[in-house]
Amino acid sequence: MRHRAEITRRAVLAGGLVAAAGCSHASPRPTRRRPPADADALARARSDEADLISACEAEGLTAEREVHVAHLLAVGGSHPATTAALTLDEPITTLLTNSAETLRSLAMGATDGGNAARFASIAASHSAATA
Amino acid sequence: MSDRSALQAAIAAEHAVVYGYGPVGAHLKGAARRYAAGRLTAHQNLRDRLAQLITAAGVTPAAAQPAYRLPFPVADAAAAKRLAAHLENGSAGAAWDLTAASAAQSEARDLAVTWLTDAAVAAAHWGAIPPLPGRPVG
Repeated sequence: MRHRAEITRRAVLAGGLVAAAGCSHASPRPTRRRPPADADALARARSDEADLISACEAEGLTAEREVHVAHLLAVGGSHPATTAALTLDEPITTLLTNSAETLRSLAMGATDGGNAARFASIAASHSAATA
Repeated sequence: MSDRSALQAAIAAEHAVVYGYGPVGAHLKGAARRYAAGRLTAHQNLRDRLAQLITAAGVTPAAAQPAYRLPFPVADAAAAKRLAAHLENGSAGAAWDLTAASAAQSEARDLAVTWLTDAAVAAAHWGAIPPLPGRPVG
């Protein structure tokens, strides 16, 4: 499925190149770059992981923090600096449970298979941490 | 990997896991044995659902092998738990592959996403899990 989606994207890009070659005299337009597949879902996953990293820091959960850093990197985030200690509004188990549900939903809807697998895997990790 | 070949790989993996839970259960007692029995039933149900999906796609599901080679000798409860963790982590890998190969919002994707969580929870019960359960190594 993922492979088929990539072929489709390539076909679209190739079609765009042909169209541009036929209109070389046209005035330049600002380039619109298509967002990567599942951009909103990836952003949501990064936001959840950033919250969980902050929560782990607030609770002094060093090993768990590293797990969430690995999750953050897997969904396109960058290595976070240690944040200031926060006061948690919710127990970390609630954050994990809610995030797992969100991630399973993101996995169901992801158009890119690799993203779907990453979301599902992170959801699985969060569920295992609260089981 | 196409979704059909991912489904066939998934059922082949589940045949092996169902087989593997035999020696696991044989060396466990009490609560551990009951948990293993529950996981065996879960994997048998999963195998049957995979077979239904494959059949619905017009393909004959891959058959189980007569026997499978265990990755290490299993002679006591500690080794049985290690084997169970090994089986569940392998099962998570098959779930990852099926998740990646299946279409968004499809029945196969739904099955694979739930399966990945179940396998990771069970693997964590038996031992440790990696930060991204099921992700291919390397």
